[in-house]
Amino acid sequence: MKDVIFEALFRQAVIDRFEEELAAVPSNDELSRLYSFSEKHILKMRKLFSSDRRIMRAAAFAKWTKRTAAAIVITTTVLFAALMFVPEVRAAVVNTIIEWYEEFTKFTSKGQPPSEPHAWIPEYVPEGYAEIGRTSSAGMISIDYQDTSGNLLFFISSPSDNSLSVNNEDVEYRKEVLDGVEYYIFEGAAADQYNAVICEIDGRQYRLSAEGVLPVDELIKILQSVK
Amino acid sequence: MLQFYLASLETEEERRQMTDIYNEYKYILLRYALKITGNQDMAEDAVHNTFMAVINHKEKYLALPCRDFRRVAVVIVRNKCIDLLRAEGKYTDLPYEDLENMVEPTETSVEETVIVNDYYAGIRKHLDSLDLMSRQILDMKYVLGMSYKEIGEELGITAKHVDTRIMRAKAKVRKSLQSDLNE
Repeated sequence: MKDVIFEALFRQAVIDRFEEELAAVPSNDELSRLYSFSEKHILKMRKLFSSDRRIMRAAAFAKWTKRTAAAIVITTTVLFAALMFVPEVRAAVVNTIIEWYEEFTKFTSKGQPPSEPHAWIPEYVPEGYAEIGRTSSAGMISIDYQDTSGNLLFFISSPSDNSLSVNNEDVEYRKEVLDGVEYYIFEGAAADQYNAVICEIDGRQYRLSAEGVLPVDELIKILQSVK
Repeated sequence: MLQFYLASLETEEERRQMTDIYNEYKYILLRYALKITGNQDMAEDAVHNTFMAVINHKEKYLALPCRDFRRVAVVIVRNKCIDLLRAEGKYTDLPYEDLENMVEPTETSVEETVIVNDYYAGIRKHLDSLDLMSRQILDMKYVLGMSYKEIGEELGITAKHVDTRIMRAKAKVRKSLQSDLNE
């Protein structure tokens, strides 16, 4: 058989074989009766397709670069004057600077680190939620929770000299003070948007974010249970 | 364990599109992956890795027409299966020449009837007897039109290796065909 003929037939045979194999695949309905996916895979795919979560989680660990949008800088100091003029004063001083960027709000606490570097985690978790993953790196702890309906809850605890970021697009921002703790609240405008709360307790920063099924009050309750 | 993805789905439209594509192709890809790996966990990982690859090159893949995307997705999932099998140690530490002895064809028989003295049917028959790696390389070359360099990059081998595999596959089929004709 001539080379040219063989090459042409060979090429066509490869293509036809591939196409026929593909065409022989049963319909999606039939395939769904024959095959199934594990819960583990379904969860992985949900995470893969959810970019909001990736952005928020990547921001907690990645270095952050400044944006050029207009910024609102709010500085709150406690006992600042005393520190400046009385250096031997040992009262804890907490400076919180909120820099409002174009899309993200970055929290940088310049408070003193806690005297005991314990990893504090919530004692209260809403009914139906269970821990599905935990990571610890450079003093930062991240815990993921999920309920039986697949709704996710993300908890991050980090040293006070770290920065935590939260998406501030399509959210309403407010601050609440409860039992002497300031809670920075980012409430999603739509029902299916994320709600997030950031606070600082005893020299550690905490960020809790969840799909809109969990109201802000519940997020604050979780943070209040951190021990 | 936290996972960092190189690219993200940045708009609601992209997320919806990816979800639709996943729902449309997940069972097809799982079927292919199961045939190659024979293992549900590994097959699911291959499907997951396939969609990761699609997201990482979303500009290229999401713009493809359905029929072309289907072909590409099948090739990608087979590549991912090969990667996973390698990681399991089934392919490591072996020279590439020995790999064809490791992986048996996944199809057990040819469906159509082979007509004696029909070259085309004979080639088709003997294509099925090629090992998985060779068939994958042939599909990437002739079905997707990829260059030797591109195929090599996808499979982690050199372009020269790709060339060698193709030459050997053709030689094997031709030799088998000649044997049929001589009978």
